[in-house]
Parts: sequence; C-alpha cells; structure tokens
Amino acid sequence: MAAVSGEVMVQRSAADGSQNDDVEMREVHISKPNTVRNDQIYIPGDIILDNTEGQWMDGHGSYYSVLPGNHSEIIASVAGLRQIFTRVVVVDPLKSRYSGEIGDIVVGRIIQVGRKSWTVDVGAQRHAVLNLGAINLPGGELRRKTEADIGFMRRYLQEGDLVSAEVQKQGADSQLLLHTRSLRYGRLVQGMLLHVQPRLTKRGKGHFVSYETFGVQLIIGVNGAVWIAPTQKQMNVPLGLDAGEQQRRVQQEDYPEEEEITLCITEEDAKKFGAKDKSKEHTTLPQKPAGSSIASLEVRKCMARIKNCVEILNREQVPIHRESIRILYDASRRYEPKELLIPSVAKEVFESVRQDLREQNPTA
Amino acid sequence: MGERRSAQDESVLQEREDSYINASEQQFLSEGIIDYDFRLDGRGPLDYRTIHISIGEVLSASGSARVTLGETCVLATVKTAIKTPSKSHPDFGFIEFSIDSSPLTSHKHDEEEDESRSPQEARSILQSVYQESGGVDRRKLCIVKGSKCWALFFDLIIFEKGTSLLDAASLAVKAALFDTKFANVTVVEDELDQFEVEFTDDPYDYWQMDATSVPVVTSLHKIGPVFLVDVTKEEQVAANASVVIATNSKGTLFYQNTDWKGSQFGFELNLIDEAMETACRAAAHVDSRLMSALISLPPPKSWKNTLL
Repeated sequence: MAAVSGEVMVQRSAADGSQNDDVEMREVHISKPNTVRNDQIYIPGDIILDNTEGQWMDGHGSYYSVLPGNHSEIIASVAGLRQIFTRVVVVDPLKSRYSGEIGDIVVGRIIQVGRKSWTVDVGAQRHAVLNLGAINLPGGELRRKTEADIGFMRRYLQEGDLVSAEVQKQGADSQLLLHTRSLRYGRLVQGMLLHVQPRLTKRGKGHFVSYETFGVQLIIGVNGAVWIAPTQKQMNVPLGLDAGEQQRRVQQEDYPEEEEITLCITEEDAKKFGAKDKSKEHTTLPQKPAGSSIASLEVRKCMARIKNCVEILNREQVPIHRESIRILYDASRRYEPKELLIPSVAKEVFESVRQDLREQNPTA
Repeated sequence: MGERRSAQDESVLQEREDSYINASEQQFLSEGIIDYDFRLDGRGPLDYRTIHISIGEVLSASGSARVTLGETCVLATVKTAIKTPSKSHPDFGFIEFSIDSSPLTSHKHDEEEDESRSPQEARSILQSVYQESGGVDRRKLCIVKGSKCWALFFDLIIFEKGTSLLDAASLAVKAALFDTKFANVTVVEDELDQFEVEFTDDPYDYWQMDATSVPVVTSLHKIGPVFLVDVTKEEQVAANASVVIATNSKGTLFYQNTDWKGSQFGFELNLIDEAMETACRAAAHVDSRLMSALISLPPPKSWKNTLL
C-alpha cells in the first residue's frame, strides 16, 4: 500500500512580536540610486529618469509627469525592466499577455466553433481566429471549401481541442489570424499542456523539440503554452487525420464513408491508415485505443521531469528553449521527478546550472 | 470574425480557459494514474506538494496563519472576545467563521465566482466541523459558567483559490488556533452578583489552547480506482468522484461527504471503505507533520497586540 508523503513547513513570521519585544521603527530609506543596473525592476510609480531638461520621451510602459518648479520625470506605469532606445524610455513588462507576431508558432485551445472559423484561445488579449480556409482539408490543399465543409467543421476541431498553428497575419484590431497549412501543425492529442510566461518563450528556431532518446516531444509555443507528448509517428494529428480518433468520430456521427479514405495527407499514410482502419473496423473502443497505454512509465517519468524542469525555469525567469530544458534536465537526473517539486531541491538543482543557463542564447 | 459575443458568453469562455481540459488530455492523465500510479508531475497518488505555513503574520489578531497548498493560499485570523454564553449551553464558548474571497487578492478572481456558493459552502462545513461536531473543545472557552465565556472569531481570506480549498482552510484554522494567545483573566464578582472580567496587565501572562486534537479536513479525488490527495486543477476536472472528511489525531470522524459528480462511475460500495481508510491515513500524516512543525516553533511572547 502506498504511503502518504509530503512535508509541512511552518515558520513564524518575522513580523511577530516574538522576535523582538518592542516594535522598532526602522528608518525608512527612500533612495534614488545614482547608478542604474540594467536588470533593475521598476514598479508602477517608480521614477525612471529625471526629465527636467526634456531629453527623454515616454514610450510603452512609462509616462511623463510634470512636477511643480519646472521639474519633470519619466515614471514607470508597469512593472518591468527599463529599456532606452535613443530618446524613448520603454518599460518592458515582466508579466504580460502574449502579443503575436506573424510567423509565431502557437499552441491554442479551440473555444468556439463558428461559421467558417474557429475561435482559438492563445492567451493573447483577444482570442485568435482560425479560418476554415486556413486549414488543410482532406482532398488536397487547393480544394474549394464547400457548404458541406462548414457543416463538418466540428468534426475537424471541437471545442476544447488543442491545436498547434502559425500566426498568419494580424488583424487591424490586433486580432491574430492563424493557419495550420503545414504538416507540422494540427490537432494535438495524448499529452499535457502547461503554461509559462510568454516572455520566456522567445521567438526562435527550435519550437518543435524532439528528445528522441527519451521518447518525448515538445512544442514550445511562443504564446507560453508548452505541449509535452510522447513521441509518436506524428505528434500532430493533421486535421481530420488520426485514424483511430477519426474512426471513432465517424462511428459516433455517421460521417460519410468515402470521405474517410481521402483524409490522409501523404499516400504512404493513406495506405497505412487505410489498411489499419479496415482491420479494426469493428473492434474500436472509444475509451482505449488498441494496444496498451500510449506512454510507458519510463516515458511518463521523462515527461514529468521535463514538466517540472520547465516549471522551475518559469519560476526562475529563465528563457525556455531546447537547450535550457536539456541543461536543467541533465542536472536533475540524480533526483526523482517528483522530488523536483520540493522547493529546496529545485533551488539546488537550479543553482548548480545557473551559470550554464545564463550563457545560453535562446536563438542559438 | 465579425461575430459579436455577449458578455455572458465571454464569461463562460473565461471560465473554461482556466480549468477546461479535453477528453484526450483527460485520458492521458487518467491512464498514467490508473496504469502506473504516476501523476503528470511525477507524484504518486498519495504525495502532497510541500505545504507552507506562516503563522503570526497578522499583528492585530490574537492568532493567525497563512497556508499555501499548491496554488491555493488561505489566511486565517482569530479574534478573541468575551461574551455571555447561550442559555442552552451555559458552559460553552462561541466559535464563528467567516470566509471572504476578495477581488483584490487574486488576478483570477471574477465576480461570477464570488456569487457562487463555494466560499459560503466552505464556511458552513468549517462551522459544522469545528463548532457543531465539537472539533474545538468549547468547554475550554468557558470562564464563568452561564455568565462569561470566550468567543473566537475566525476570519478567513482566500488569496488564491485553487484546488483543495477546504484542506488549506482547515490547516490554517488549526495553525491559527495553535497561535492564538488568550490573556489570563481574573473574575470579580460585584454586589449585584454580576461578574466582571479583568484582563491581566502583564503582556506575557497568557495561555494557549491545546490544538493537538483539532481536526483537519482532507479531500480525496478518485480517478479510475485510484484515490489522489492534493490534486491539481486538471486532475480535479478529470476526477469522477471525490470524498471529503474531517478527522483528528485520535481518529474521530467529524465530517464526511462524498461527491459523485453526477457520474455513473460514482463510488462503488466496496470502495467507500478504502476511500475512508486512505483519507484517514492522509489526514493523520498531514496532521502529525503539522503538529510536529508547530511544536518546534519558538512560542510567542506577548498576548498583547504588538501594534497597540
């Protein structure tokens, strides 16, 4: 029988009178540092620069304030780091929503099936839109989308489904339009999603990461959604492709039979899935696909370790990319995945590779 | 694109954003637990995440404790006062609970949630565990039978509402009660047979209640045949039943509730025993860790509010 485990850490607050009997009024220092470190964090209301001579301009996250006596200052309006571009002072917020750029690889969740489009939650200020015209449908890339396709939209993507996609363009009102017109993108099944701060997942090359030796694949969405899944032949199910899943939906919803065969994108896959489909036509169980579980215990352990590593990186404000995850993963090997949840262990592991992580360039 | 959604739709979507996971994710999560007793973050079914408790944070209260359990963060404070006991229980003190979930304390808070019954439900459960079922020995709060008694006002603030709210709240209540300093009082009887309570002048002259046998609440969630403690949000969504119990170190049961979540795979009868036994073990573990950590703390010195 499994034993219950877990620690309770109790501390008496230093504010309590038990430490020093009388409350001591400590001197309050309000100091304006003369030298500004580049990694200093400003909070809203902090004075960034004296602007009496009017040499600075206020940019994003800062504003200009005029004080009596011809005195003026640039003040932070968000919490973050200072950046100066020639004359413009900008505060780069530590915590912000994802703001998309064209070409970003994102992982999002379908929250609404509309007419001719899906609404996708990518963690941006507005929900993104995936148009019916922006996905690959069975029957070829350049096929015209018909009225029938509109009717079948929910069979490709339902509410709650996860998709990986690329930002195709940005609407006038900063609404993102997505597309999945590549084999790399599609519906994500069998795995787990975690959210990190979007500013840590920088735009770069390696958003699709595969750790072959561990049998684990990652999609690090620029929007801060990280998808961790066991390696499969295809991690992404191109829309309307996955054989077992598709068949299940076919059975549930009486999808026209001839469509089913043309659902595959490459001929090779078509043969494979087509053959499979027939062989297990009558044995499909909706709850569990044929064979044992999708991921073995070993793979699950790797996934848990990666998940915990990503969460440590997120907590420690370190950019999350292929190399930083690998470094922390290697350093954490002498612990069980669940031990990484203990704050002291996480701290120790992180400190042991802090220098290595700092040297990493996210775009490398 | 051009579609306009009503405010109501928007709030439904917001709610989903946080807790919704789809069938495929649920299946993946459940499979690891059912096949390997292995959760997504590597924990076994009965592994808690580290629970952080900080006591004595609120200087103006007689006792206080802030508990962080997973994402959930709850602050409990105790205010002590002298009252006249009720006629029906002349030798009992009073215990009152209030729970507040303030919009200022969490970015995830929205008004919809405040309207929901959840904090009030938690309040009534705590009230029944600690007062009606005798979780706290209210006889100890009696000063003069029928005339004067202590009243304890527990004010709880939910800073962040994650899973296992009741577990965190009960730990906060217990730790805050452990921290509570009662001033020693002298009772003076005047000519009219009325009792007057006089507080001691000595700020170090106080007593504390023995909180050892105060119950803690433990909630278990069931995925497949496996019971889990300290669930994450995803696991809570994937769970098909849950059980909440309150026990103390002596093994007395103060409260028990099962939730089938309207599913056909609710509690099989033969699993009820296992659920109770597992929950009691989990509760005993947390309780013993809590008490040993609390006892090792240096005692507070003054019963007087440091701010006064």
